[in-house]
Amino acid sequence: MKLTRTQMMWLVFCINVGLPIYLSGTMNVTKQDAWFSVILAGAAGFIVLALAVRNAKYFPGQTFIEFTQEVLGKWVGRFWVLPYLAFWMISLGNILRSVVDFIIMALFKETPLTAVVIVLFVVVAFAVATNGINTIARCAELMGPLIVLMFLCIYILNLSNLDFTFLLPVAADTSPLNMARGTFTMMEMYGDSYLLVMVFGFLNKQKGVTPKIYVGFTLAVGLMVLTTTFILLTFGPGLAAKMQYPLYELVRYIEVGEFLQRIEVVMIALWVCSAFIKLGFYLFCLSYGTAQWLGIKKWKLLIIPISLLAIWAAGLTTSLLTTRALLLRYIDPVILPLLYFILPVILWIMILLHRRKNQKVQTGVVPTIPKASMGWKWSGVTLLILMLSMYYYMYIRYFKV
Amino acid sequence: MRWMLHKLLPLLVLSCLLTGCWDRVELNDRAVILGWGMDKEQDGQYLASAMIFIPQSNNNNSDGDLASLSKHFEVFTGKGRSIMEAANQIQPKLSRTIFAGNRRMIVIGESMARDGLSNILDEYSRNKDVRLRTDMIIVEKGTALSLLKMVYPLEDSPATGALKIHENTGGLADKAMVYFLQAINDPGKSPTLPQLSLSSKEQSQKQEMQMTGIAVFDNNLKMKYKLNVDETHSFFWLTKKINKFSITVPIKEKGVINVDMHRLSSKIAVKLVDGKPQFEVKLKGDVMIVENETALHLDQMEDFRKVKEALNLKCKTDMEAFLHHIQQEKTDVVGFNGYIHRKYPRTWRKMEPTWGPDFAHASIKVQANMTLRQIGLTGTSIENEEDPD
Repeated sequence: MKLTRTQMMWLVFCINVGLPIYLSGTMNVTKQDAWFSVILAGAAGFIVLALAVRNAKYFPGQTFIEFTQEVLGKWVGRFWVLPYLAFWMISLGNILRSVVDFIIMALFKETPLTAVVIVLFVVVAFAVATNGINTIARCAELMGPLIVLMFLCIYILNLSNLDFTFLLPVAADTSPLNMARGTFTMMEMYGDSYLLVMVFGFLNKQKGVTPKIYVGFTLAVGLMVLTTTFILLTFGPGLAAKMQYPLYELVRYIEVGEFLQRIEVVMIALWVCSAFIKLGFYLFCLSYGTAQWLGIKKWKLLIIPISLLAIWAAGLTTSLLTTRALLLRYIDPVILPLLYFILPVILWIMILLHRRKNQKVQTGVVPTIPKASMGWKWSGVTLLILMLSMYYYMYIRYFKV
Repeated sequence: MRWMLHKLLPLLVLSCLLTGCWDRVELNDRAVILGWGMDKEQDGQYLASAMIFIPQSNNNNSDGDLASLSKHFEVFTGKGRSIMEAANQIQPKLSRTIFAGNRRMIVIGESMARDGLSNILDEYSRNKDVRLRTDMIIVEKGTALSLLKMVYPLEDSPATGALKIHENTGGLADKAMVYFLQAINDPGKSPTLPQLSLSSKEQSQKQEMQMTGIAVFDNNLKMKYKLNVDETHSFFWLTKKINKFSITVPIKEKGVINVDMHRLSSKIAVKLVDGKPQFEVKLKGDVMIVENETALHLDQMEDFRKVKEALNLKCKTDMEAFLHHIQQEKTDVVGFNGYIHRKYPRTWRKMEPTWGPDFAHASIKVQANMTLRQIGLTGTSIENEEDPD
């Protein structure tokens, strides 16, 4: 599996262009200044992305699982990645559910949720099983430009509906506290960037990849800022905050003359494509990471149990909005900063120390340690841990909210 | 065999999984709703009426026979103590599943509007089939059912007819619902909906409909009062929803002049004097004289100026009458609150809770500055040329 730099750029773009459902939560708090929270959230996401690059770039050919073990030692490294794997598992279930909720809302009314979940995930698992991250990255390279084109079309076709008074007054009604709260609601979306530590090692050439990654990310955030602005300008902050899928409503609202209308189906198709890339990316990172963690050579074997877990998790949550409430209350304020900011910073410092130490011994060449094989019985233990973490999550979900 | 297993099997499995035909409803099984009416009956029950498209081939009706045209549609009704109950009474009468995705028009009877719209608006914004681009109108002193049942000669259905009437008189008809929802979500601004009235033509059973103004709602979404046609023009002018209409200008002791006004624009400025808002409204537009019933010589500077002054006065008094009316009723339909909010956001926070009564006392000055662009093809009125006056 090798990734080119352009593929990397579009991969970063596709996983960050995101599911625009998070907007209404932000708009509730920050009203007409929501676009600024998106910029702030993008800046926070940029830090996460930069940390991911800083963490991974010294270890070509190695994934997160391998280089943490090298830097922190075998056992600390193992425990270091465990919360990440558990959290990614939860996120995978959540993303799957939100995608399926949207598909059901837009297209299918009487189809049971499980059917849509299974059908979608069979395709994702099939894609990951064929060629791993390569399939996903090539899909991203193909779909990314189309998604950009779709967004541009939405903007252009909506130009006639804009009312610029909706953006005023700028930064007058939102207190800094509210701005921070609104930003926090968005930030979860850009936490995904940290998953890059899993695939950075697959790059065929590292030189010059960092600017491309940043370009991909900035493009995604820029589109999101524009989208937020357009939604505000079209519906006004009061109405937009009440919409569950404001972007979808925006596309439905497009009507040019009497003939160009109901183009939301095109948008749904591309949207599902971007969701497909995101799901595939998560699934790959999880199955590859877990396999490396256990020392299993055939990582593809883990696709099936992880898919089953994800499908099960997606069916558990009752609705997207209640899950969002939970995320906002428990997971976002604690787990996100811990996993995507504090721990990466510590890891970065450790990496720098490690490199300084190693450079004294041998010049620049990073030694690789042999992988420990933990055998099959450990895979059961891992899955148990993953399941327990999800049980804990569901426990919070049902009894504390 | 191996080839079959490796290539063909996934293909077959995926082709089964990817089709997504679970929810398909054939067009033959859909009852397409084109217009929807809500009324409140005398006995307190709600009456929902759905105008449903009757599919048939168009070939036989190409002669435009009214009776056959009207057969394209049928109105079904349901009655109930709550709105949902009434709406749910319609489906059992239909052999096909209701599909509301093409609903462009929601008609509301006046009794329903006076009772309050908060109950019905929820469905109209929650139902995922329904689009935001929907027109909403109130039937003045009548029922929605009677509007949907009437025969409108110009269009294929009365719902389309009402929509186009609205479009012709007030600009963006299919945005009525969005404007309404936006006004609800803007504290301080009063929502409005256009109003139509039905009148019987003499000597026949046929009815006519006519745009008669704007219904103004209070914050509980109950209809409070209506603005007449002149006030509606002023309202649209001030909110930039219309850019042309015609008025008749009286000229002192001389008669009247009819003019077309177009390229209308308005500007509202606000300033705070001792913590009280003072608004200044500036009106501008191009004017074309279409009929001169006076003996004024429009090609002469003095008379020309007289006309212009009379015109400015007329625009100003009309606008002031409209503003006076809405101030008396304490309903800010124009959105003057937004102007304070945008310019003095901090002061606005203190003013917001009492904006309704405060608006009634706000001072609003109107200035009209119209430009006479064309006086038509003749200078002086032809028939009045020999008039000694």
